[in-house]
Amino acid sequence: MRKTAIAVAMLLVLASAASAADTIKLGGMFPLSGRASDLGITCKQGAELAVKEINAKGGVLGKKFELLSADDKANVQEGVTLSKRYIQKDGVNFLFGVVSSGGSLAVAEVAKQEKVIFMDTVGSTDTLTKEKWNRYTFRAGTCNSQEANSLAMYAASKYKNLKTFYNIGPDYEYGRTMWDIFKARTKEQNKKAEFIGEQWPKLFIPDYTSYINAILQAKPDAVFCTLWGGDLVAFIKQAKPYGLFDKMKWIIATGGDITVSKALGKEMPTGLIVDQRYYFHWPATKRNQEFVKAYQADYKDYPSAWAAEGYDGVYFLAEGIKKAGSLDTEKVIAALEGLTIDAPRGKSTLRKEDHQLSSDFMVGETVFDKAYPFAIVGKTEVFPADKVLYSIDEWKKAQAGNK
Amino acid sequence: MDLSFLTVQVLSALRQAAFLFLISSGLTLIFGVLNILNFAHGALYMLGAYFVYALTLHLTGPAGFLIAILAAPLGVALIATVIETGLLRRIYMQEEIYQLLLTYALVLIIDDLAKIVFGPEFKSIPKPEMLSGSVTLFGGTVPVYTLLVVVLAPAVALLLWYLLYKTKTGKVVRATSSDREMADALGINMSALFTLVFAFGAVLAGLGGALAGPVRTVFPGVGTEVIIESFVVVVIGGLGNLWGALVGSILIGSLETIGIIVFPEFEMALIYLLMVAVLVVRPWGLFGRPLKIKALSEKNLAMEAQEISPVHFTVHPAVRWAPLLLLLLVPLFAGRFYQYLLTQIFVASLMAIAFNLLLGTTGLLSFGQAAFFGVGAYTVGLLLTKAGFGTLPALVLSPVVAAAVAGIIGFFCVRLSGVHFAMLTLAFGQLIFAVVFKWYGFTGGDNGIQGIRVNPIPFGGMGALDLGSTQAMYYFVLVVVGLSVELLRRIRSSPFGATLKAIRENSQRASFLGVNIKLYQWTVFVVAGAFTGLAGGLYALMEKSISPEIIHWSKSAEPVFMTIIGGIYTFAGPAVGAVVYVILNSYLVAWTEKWALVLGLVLLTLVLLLPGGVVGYVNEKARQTLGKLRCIHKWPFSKSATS
Repeated sequence: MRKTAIAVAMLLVLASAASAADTIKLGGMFPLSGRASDLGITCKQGAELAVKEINAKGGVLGKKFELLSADDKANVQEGVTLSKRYIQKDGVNFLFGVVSSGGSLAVAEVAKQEKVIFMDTVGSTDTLTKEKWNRYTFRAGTCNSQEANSLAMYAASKYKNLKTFYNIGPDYEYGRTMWDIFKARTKEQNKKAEFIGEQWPKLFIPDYTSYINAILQAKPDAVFCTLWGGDLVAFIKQAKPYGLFDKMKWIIATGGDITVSKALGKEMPTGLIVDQRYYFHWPATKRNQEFVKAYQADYKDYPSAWAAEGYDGVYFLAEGIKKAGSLDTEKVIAALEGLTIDAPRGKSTLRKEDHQLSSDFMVGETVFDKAYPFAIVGKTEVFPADKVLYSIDEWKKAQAGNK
Repeated sequence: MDLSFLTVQVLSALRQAAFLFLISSGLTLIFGVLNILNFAHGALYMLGAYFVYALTLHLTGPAGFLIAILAAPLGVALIATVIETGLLRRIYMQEEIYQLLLTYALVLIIDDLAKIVFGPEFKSIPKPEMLSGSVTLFGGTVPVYTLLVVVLAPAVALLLWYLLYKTKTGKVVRATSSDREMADALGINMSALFTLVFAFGAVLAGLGGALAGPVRTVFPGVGTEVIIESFVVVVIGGLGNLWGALVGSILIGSLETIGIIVFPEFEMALIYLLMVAVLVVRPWGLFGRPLKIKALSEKNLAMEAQEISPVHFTVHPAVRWAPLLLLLLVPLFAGRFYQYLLTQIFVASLMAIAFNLLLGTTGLLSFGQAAFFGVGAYTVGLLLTKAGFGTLPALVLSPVVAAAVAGIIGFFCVRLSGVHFAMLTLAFGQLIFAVVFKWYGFTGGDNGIQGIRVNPIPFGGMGALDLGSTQAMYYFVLVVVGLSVELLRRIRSSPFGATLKAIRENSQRASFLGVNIKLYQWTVFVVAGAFTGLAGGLYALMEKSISPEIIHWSKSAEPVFMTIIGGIYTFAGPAVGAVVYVILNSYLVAWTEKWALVLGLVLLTLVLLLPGGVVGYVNEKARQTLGKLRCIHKWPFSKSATS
């Protein structure tokens, strides 16, 4: 009896030691508390699902994936501390996740110093892979230029009579750069376009009535809006009684976000030009349907865009390691550069030069479909990455100032 | 500007003001009677909104909606009663800062519990059809719900006026607010009154949340944004004054509405600018009166007795130097992560000890220390990345620049005392935060500065000190912090430090003795600012990435936590608190998603069980033991022995 107990104990010790050495560790950082937590939590869930699927098939190179995850509180400094902890204490093989742009930039800096690969997911500033590019950082999610350019081209091609444009966006880098990119592309497409005003509410303010009034007063043909998540929900609820969505055309980045549609339900206005960085109902491929089904089985919910980006990030790493045949950082970098995978969102490539995801991007308008109790995106148009993503020439120019 | 535009704008300002009034009237009432600045008031607002959300899931139609709006505040009141009788009541004898910290711990706990119960995602509360539409008023579109809120809030104000001025209980409340001891002496049941007022304030906060919920969104932590705004309202209006809250709400509501149209670029800073302007001209707010200086007899004597004299308790130098020696040896056996964690602790300790020079030594609660920390960090960051400075000159300049900024801010702040001082430092801190956050061209805006390059420090041809490795940085920070802490210790035990303590204990008596109180307070504010700036500079060197978050008020709360965890009236307290706080934070975050809940519970426990802080507790025990051993027959300098 005692012998067996000892044997079991020894086996357990051996097993745990073996598993510790034989896992591929991802140091995941997501905002799990505070106002961006629903982004962080679903992103983490997507990544967990991918890890589960990969491990069920025996892992990669005979090793299982292990996702460590911690709350970075959407705080830049917390991200830096956590990533150092992951590298110096937990000995992770990769840094993973991050939702805010500032956080992504700071973690990328740690990755560069420590020579560890960082797979960014939701943090979407172009700067990460453009002006501040470094060879250890990759992004499995879409970036701002892809989104703003697609919206501009959709509006320009479908609504040629729009002349005066107005902006309302959160007062931080994301809102500002989205508006700049949108303006530039709209001007290219429509010489008569005029940009007659802009409003920059603070991130996370509760009340938008005065902004709504200012927009009513300015009477633009179209408004470009980059409020997101709970802010967008509050804005739409407050603006609807003023008839704001009937009086002008609205172009809302991430307005198709499923968390927004679900929160608003039937209150969501139709005919808003919106995008979502990933759609559970598009493309109608087997790969996507399987992903949605697996996600629903685990979390009883449709996957958000953030879930898909977390999911893709893990698959990129898995495929990269498989291709490299090793966990060696340099070899994995070489394997990831130019790597193409079959992701739920369709064919997805990490561009060789700048490590940015290149994939199709779909824009449409909010419509109601009998199949769902909330609005989805219809009247869609797909934009290939080479039309809307910043070009490699632009990237090369940006590298001149990047030390 | 036509009439329709004006109508819409005025009504939206009034709606904003109405929500603010509901929250801040409760806040100000509680402050007036209980003398507590209730940080958890925002969390109570959030609960009001969540309760309406939960109720409307089951109750439909306009009647259900009305019931939900009325029932939710009562639920909030119930929770508030539990909080008051179970927790707050235990620490009324302590200084206000303990109550502030307790309510802050409650915010952490309530927010995390809300996340567990209601989920992390934002919730939207649907309005009944009859309240969703809009009407036309003077040509402008006005939502029906706005009219409802704008009518309801004055009704509540009227009711409050009636209750406070026309009923007996109201008179008792006002009497207590104006003179607590007298009311107590007249036989008024204080504890029942306190519970009543706290619960009533909670009803108002809950009603605010219940009414605001359907037009805003609700999510865990929504109260935090609201509470700071309400602080601004009550401070501008005058703490404890109901009319002040009313006028303050209308002022802030209109300022935000007009500000958006007229100065969109300054919108973020406007309310803090107004607060600074009001407090500089009228230090106690528009309708406030000077706060009564707390009588010595009210303070917790046992705690202060530890440190009533500048000379009473010195540790043997060997005991002081031993830890330093130990720390020098750490890198020989500890891995990189532990060195990094310790480096973080050193920087946090320096910030906390400098902060306690203000709080523990001088009796000034600064809630804007993050501003100086940030100024120091940005000085180093900008000089290294943009101006091509060497590492050492940049680091040397960080306390200088921080001291200069502290000099300007301190000039205005030291005219105030107590909560007003705290609020003015908060306002200045948030102003600096707004500037750094907005000034993309110079500070990098919200993205901050990444990749700060730390060049080796040259030794005039004798080679150079390369700080590239974690270990080198560890030793560098240890030496700089060690020297600074020794300097701070000397300052504190010098005659200058003794004078500061005299000011803390009895500023009136100190001024009769010919001490220029404001000058002393200003000087110590600058000194504390300089060392905080140095901590910030070290932080920038160590982390190599900085962002405006290090200037946000929530960063200013950290040294407050550390100091209270460790012990206010001890020199080593803040450092011990920094050790506890940094380790707790680092391990909790890695260990559980519910770190906020655990941190809140730990803070709560510490405040309730170890009011003197960890070091205070150890000192007290040591003294008792020494007394028993007859080493000391009579504690020579303790207050209890002399009075």
